[in-house]
Amino acid sequence: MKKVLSVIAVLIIAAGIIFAQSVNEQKSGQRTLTVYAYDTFCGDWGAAGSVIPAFEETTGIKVNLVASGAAVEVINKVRLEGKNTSCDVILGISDDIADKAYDLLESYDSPYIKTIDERYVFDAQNRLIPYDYGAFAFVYDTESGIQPPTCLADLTKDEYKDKVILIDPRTSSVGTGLMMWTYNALGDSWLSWWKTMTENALTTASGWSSGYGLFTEGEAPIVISYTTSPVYHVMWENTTRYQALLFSDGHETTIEAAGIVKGTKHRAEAEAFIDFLLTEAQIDLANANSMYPVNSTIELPAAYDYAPVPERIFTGSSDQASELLTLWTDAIVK
Amino acid sequence: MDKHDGFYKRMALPALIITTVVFILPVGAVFLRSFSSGSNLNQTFTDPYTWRLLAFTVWESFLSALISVLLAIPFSVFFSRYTFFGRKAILTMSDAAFALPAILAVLGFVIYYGNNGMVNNALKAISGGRWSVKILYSFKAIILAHVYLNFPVAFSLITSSLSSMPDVEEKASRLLGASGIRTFFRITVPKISGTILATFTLIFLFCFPSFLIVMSLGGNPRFFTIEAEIYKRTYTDVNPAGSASLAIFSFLVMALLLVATGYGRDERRVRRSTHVLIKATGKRLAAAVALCIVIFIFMAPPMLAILYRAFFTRDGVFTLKAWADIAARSRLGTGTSLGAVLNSLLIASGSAIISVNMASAIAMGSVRTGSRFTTLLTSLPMAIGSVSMGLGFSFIAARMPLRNTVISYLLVLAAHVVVVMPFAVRSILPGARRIPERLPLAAKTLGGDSREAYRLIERPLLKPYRRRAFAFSFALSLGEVNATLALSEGRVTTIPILIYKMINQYNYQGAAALAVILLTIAITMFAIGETGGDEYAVS
Amino acid sequence: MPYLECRNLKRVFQHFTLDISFSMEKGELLCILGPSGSGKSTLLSAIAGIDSSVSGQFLLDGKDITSIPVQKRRIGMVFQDFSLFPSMNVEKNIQYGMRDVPAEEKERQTEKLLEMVSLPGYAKRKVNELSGGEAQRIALARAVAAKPQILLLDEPMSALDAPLRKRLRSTIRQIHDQTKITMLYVTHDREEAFAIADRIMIMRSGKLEAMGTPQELYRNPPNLFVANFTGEGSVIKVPQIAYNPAKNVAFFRPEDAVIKKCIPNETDFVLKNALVESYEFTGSDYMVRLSYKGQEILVRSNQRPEESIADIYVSKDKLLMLDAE
Repeated sequence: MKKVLSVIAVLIIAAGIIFAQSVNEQKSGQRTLTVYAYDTFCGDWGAAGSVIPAFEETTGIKVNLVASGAAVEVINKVRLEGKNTSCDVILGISDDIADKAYDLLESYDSPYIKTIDERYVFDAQNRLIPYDYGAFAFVYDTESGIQPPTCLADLTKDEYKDKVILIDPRTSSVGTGLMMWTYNALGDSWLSWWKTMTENALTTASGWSSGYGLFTEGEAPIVISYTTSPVYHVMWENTTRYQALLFSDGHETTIEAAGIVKGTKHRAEAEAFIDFLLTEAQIDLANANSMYPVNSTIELPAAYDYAPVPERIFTGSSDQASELLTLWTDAIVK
Repeated sequence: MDKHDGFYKRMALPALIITTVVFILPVGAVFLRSFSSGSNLNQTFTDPYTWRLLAFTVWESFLSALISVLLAIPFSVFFSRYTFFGRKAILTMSDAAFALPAILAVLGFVIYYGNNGMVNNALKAISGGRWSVKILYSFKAIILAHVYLNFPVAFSLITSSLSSMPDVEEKASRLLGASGIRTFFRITVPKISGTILATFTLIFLFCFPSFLIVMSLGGNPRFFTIEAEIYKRTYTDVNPAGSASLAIFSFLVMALLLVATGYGRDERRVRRSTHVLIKATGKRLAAAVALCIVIFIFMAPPMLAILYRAFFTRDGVFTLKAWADIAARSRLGTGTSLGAVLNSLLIASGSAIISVNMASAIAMGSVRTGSRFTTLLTSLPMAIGSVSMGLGFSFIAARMPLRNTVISYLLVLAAHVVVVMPFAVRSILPGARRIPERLPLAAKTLGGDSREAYRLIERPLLKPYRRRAFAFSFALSLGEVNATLALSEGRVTTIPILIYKMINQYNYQGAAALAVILLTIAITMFAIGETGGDEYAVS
Repeated sequence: MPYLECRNLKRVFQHFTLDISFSMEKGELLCILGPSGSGKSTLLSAIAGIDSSVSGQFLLDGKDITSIPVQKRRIGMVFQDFSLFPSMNVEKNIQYGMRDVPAEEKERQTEKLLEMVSLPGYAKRKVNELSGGEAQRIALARAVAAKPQILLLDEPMSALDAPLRKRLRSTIRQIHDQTKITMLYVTHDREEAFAIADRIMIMRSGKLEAMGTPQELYRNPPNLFVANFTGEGSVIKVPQIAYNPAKNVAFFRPEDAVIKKCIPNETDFVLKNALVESYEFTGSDYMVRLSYKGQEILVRSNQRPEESIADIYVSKDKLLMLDAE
C-alpha cells in the first residue's frame, strides 16, 4: 500500500513539473505564430527573452517558439518535417547557409527593407530578410602584453606561436566564417595560411563556445570571434580588457536573417513578426546577439564604441562555403 | 517442458521488446535516410577519407582504452583485496567522473592543466616564471582526457569483478611458493580476462564517438573522429543523408567490435564467494594511503578546478555572483536553473528506474535461459554515438504529428533509456549470474510459482546490483547532452543543456556553478550506490 | 498400488544412458544408492520436475504428473547445498511452503518443526549464520513444512563432515517415522543407505542393478557389482572349484569364512595353503587379508593369525555363485 501511494505521489509531482513548463503553450482562439530559431536565441538569456514578450504585447499574437540547436538544424528540421511542418517563420539563418534554405521559403517584400543598409540585403528575392549582422575579427587580451597583430599574415609569425585560438570550419559557423575570410582576403595563399596556422595556433577548437572559453580562461591571448564581442564585456563585466582587432585585409561578415516558410497558414502574423524584427526589436536583437542592427538609423549604446566597424567587408554564399570546405579538408587533413 | 514454464522468457520479453523498439526506431530512421537521395552510401564506404578518419578514431580509442584498463588493474587488485578507511570514498569519487559530460571535462582540464591553468601557474610561481609545461593541445592531451573519464569505469568494473571472485586459487598459489607477481599473472589475470576484455570494449566504445575532447584538447584539425565528421555533415553541411551514411558506417564498425569481442559471452558462473576483504595494516596500510593519494591527485583536481571556478573569477576574486545568477532565475519554466535541475532529476530518475527494472528482467531472463543473444542485443546501443543517436531521434521527431512539452519529455526519456540500458544490464548481470538456479527451483518445490520466486527470492538478492545500476544509470542520464539537445526543442532544459547555454553566453562561472550542482548530485547518487555491499551471502 | 511409479525414464549422457523404471510404496524410505555419476541426481530432479531432460512417465498416487508443473506436484526436495533463501531468516524460509495457513498456526507449526530437527528457538536467526548441519536441518524442516506427498533428498549429507552425518541421518529416519512421509533418498554412501533405508535401489551407469531391503541385498546380491558395492567380500574364479558350471565366480563375505586347522566338514569348502598377507585389528575382531592362488581373500577372525600359511574354510551354503563382470 505504501508503495502504491509513493508511486502515485511521484507521478503527481512529475506531472506537475511537466505541466508547469508547458503552461506557456498556446491557448485556443488566439492568433498564433510558430517560430523556429536556434538555441541561443531562445532561452531567457537570448534575444527571445526580450523580443518575444514585446512582440506579443504589441500585437497580441501568441508566439510558439521552438528551439533547435544551431541555425542549420532549424533548416534541417523544417525540411524533414516537410508538409506537416507547423513552422511559420525561421529565424537566425546566416548568409553563408542561406542557399540551403531558399527552397523552403516564400518572399516577403516588407516595407521596412528600405531601412536596411544595402550591403546587407543579400537576397534580392527577399525570401530571407536580414535583421542583424556581425563581422568576424580576432579579439585579443590587452593584459597579455603581446603586440597586437594588424593583419592575417601577422598571425603566422613566430612571435604568435601558441598564442592564437582558431575554430574548425567543419564544425562551427564561426570557423566557416574564418575560412571564408581567409579565402576572400588572401586569395590563392589562403590554404598555405591555414597550413602554417594549424601548427602555429595553440589549438583549433570545435566551436565558438569552447574556443572563446579557452580564451577567457587565459590559455591564449588571441581568438577568432566577432568585432562585437568586447561589447558584452564592457556592458556586463565593466572591463575594456578585451578588444577587437581591425585588420587591413578587411573582414568577413555574417548576416542573420529570417524568412517566412512556404505554405504558412499564418502569413499575416508572420509578416507582422518580420516587420517587428526590423523596427522595434532592432536594439534588443543587437544587444542580445552581440551583433549590429541592420537598420542604419538605430542608435547604439556607448558600449558599442568598443566594437569597431570594419570598412572593407566580404560576404559569402553557401555554395562557396561547401566547395571551400572540401578544398580545405583536402589540403589540411588529407 | 521448460522447468521454469517459460517464466523468464515472458518476463524478459516485454523489456526486450521495448528496448529494441526504442533503439531500432532511431537507427532504422538513420538507416533509411542513408539510402535516400542526396547520399551516396557506396561512396562513403569507399572514400579513403572515411578510412583515414576510421584509422585515427580507432587508434585514439584503442590507446585510451588500453591505458585506462592497464592503469586500473593494479589499483583494482589492491582495492579488491584490502579494506581501509576511505576506500569507499575513493571509489565514489572515481565513479562520479562517469557523470561528467565532455564539455565539463574540457573545462576542468583547461582550468587545471591549461597553459594558464593551475598547474602552470603553480610552476611559474615556484620558478619565477621560467618553468611551464604544455600538457594540452596535443594528441597526448586527448588520451589524458579520455583516460581521465574512463579510468573510473575500468577501476569500478574490474574491482567489482575481482571482489566477487573467491581468492582461493591465489592463496593456494602463494602457499605453493609462487611470488605475488607470478600469482597475479598466472592465476588472477586469466580469471578476469573476460572482464578485462569487456571493460576494454566498453571504454573503446566510449572513446570512439568522442569529438569535443578530441578537437578542443587535440589542438590540430588533423585530429578528427568519425563522429565529428557526422556532426559536420549534419550541422555544417546540412546534409542529413550524408551524415546518415557515415552514421551507419560507424555503427557497423562498432557493432562488429561488440560481436567480435563476444560481448554477449557468458562469463564464468561464480557462485559461492569466499572473498573477504582483509583489513590493511602496517605496510599495506601505507600502500593503501599511497594509492589513494595517487588516485586523488589524478581524479580530483579537474573537478576541484571547476568547483574553484564557481566561486572565484579567473582573476582569483571570490564572488558568489554565479550562484546569485542561478538563484535569481529560480522560477519554474524552461531555461531557468531550478527548472533545469528539476528536469534533470526527473529525467534521470525516470530513466534510471525504468532501465533498472527492465534490465533486471532482461538480466535474469538471459541468465536463466542461457541466452547470449539477449545481452548482445541490449548492448547494441553502445555502438551508436550520441550525435548519431540524436540524429536518428530527430528524424523521428520530425515525423511526429503532435508536438508539445509532454512529447518532448517522452522523447528525451526514451533516448536516455536507450543510452542507459546497456549499463544497467551490464551492472545487474553479475548479480543475476551469482544466484544459483537451484534457489527458484527449490522455491517451486515448496509450492510457489516462478513469479513469486523471482519477487521474493531472486530480486532481493539483486538489490545491491540494482542499486549500483541505478546510480550509474542516473549519472549517465545526468550528463547526457547530445541526444537531449536534438530532441528537447527548447522545451526541456536539463543541467548540461543549461551549461552549454551559459558557456554560449560567456558565463563560465555560471557554467562552473551548474557543474558543481551536477557533480554534487552525481556524487550523492554514487555514495548511496556504494553503501551496502553484498548484503546477502549466497549460500 | 505403488505410490510413486517411474516408467521408462530415459536420457542419454556422455558416457552412459539412463534407462530405468521403478516404483515405491507409500510411506517407505527408499534409498537410491550408486557410485558418483550413475545418474541418481538427475533421476531425482526429473521426479521433482526441475530437470526437463529426462523422457518418460511419472505417476504419483495413481495420477500422471508428467506434464504437471513443479509447483503443483507437491513434491518436496532437500538439496546437497541446502539452497536456503539468503534474503529470508529461518522462520521465513520454513514458512515459505506453508500455503493457506493463518499466521498463528504458521508460528506454531514452525516451532514444532524446529523442535523436530532439534533447533528450538532458531526462528529469527539469519540464514548465513547457520552452520552446515544446522542449515541442512532447516532445509529439512522447510521441505516438511510444505506437507509434500513425497520428499526427495539429494545427497543431503555430502556437504557435511562424518560425525555430523551419523547424527543427521538418524534424525532423518526419526522424522520419517514420525511424519510417515514417503522419502526417496539419494546417496553414494553405502553405510548411510544401510542405516536408514527400508529398501535400497542400486544404480549403475543409469541402469537399475538391484532393488531390495538392505538385508536382501547384502545376503543375496544378484550380481558381483552389487555384492562388492554392498560390503566386503572375496571372489574366487570358478574353474578352480567347478561347483556350478552356469556361473563364473564364487563370492563370500569375510564373516562367512574361517581360518582353522582341523578336519573340514562335508559342507565346507576349503582353500588350502593361503598366504597371510596382512591383518587389521577392528576392535571387535581381526580382518585378515590372504592370498590364494593370486586372488585376494578377506576373512574375519577372532584370533590373531599366528602363522603365515592358513587354510580357509567356507560353508558351502554361504557361497554365492555369480557372473564375473
